[in-house]
Amino acid sequence: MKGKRTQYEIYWEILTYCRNSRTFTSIIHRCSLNSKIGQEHINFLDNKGYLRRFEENGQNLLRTTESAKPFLDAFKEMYLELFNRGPDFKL
Amino acid sequence: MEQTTLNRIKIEMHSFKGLIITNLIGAAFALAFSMAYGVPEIIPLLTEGAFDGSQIPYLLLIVFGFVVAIGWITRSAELMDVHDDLVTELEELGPEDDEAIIGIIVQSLAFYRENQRKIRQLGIAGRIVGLFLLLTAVPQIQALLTGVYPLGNWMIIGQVFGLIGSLGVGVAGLYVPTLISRFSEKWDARLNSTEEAEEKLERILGE
Repeated sequence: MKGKRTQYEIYWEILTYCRNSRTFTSIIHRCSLNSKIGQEHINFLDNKGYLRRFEENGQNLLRTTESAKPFLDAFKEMYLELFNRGPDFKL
Repeated sequence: MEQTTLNRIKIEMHSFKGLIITNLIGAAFALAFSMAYGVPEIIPLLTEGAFDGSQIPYLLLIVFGFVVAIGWITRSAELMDVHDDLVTELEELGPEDDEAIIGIIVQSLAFYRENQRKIRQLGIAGRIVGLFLLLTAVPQIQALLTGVYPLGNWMIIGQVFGLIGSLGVGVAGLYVPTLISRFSEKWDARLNSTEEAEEKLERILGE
């Protein structure tokens, strides 16, 4: 991922990616974050109860919880709407 | 038939790709024209070492044409590189794949936020080169009308092609900024909408 994302877009990426259990390293790699920023975002989502930390087979994992649903649903609706409003740019 | 979100994104992405390709072609023409006009004037300077004041405009023309065209090519190529990855990714998606479609929307917005300035600069470069090429067409038209152009009868075909090239690319160069403005307006509006969306998301996060 290249470009400037807003923090909400990064939250959406983390939460969507963590629908399946993920390690911290895989999250920051997938979401193109450095470890400091990645840690901040993950801690924030964890504190909100949107992510759950647990251990499995000796690995520390994170997974999106049901509490994140309102955020994910609202994000989906608003971002799809961006392209549903005409007129579009066309050559 | 109702247009799906995916189709709308595809049309926009392909249109923007077309716009970048047009820019690349324009930049290549600008580079070729600046060389064609400037180099014949600079060669005597290098081979004979004789400097004539009348050559200064040509030297400036070469430098100016090169700088604008190289900058134009570089910017277009940089934009093309990132944008092409998005287009490739988009082609693999199905209309029901909402999550992946939103992923592309997020990446496209991030791309536009990052490159907003570069995209506007393409418009400025297009306008400069368009104007420059239209100006270079003036002496060619004069030469054709008066018949004093120093080329033979057969070479007049080449002159006409050169003139059409200058006029065609010149007009295209002037039109491209209009397209870029339309594109920017659309995407600026989308960025504004994301700011409104942020307020709603902020409220949800605060609950």
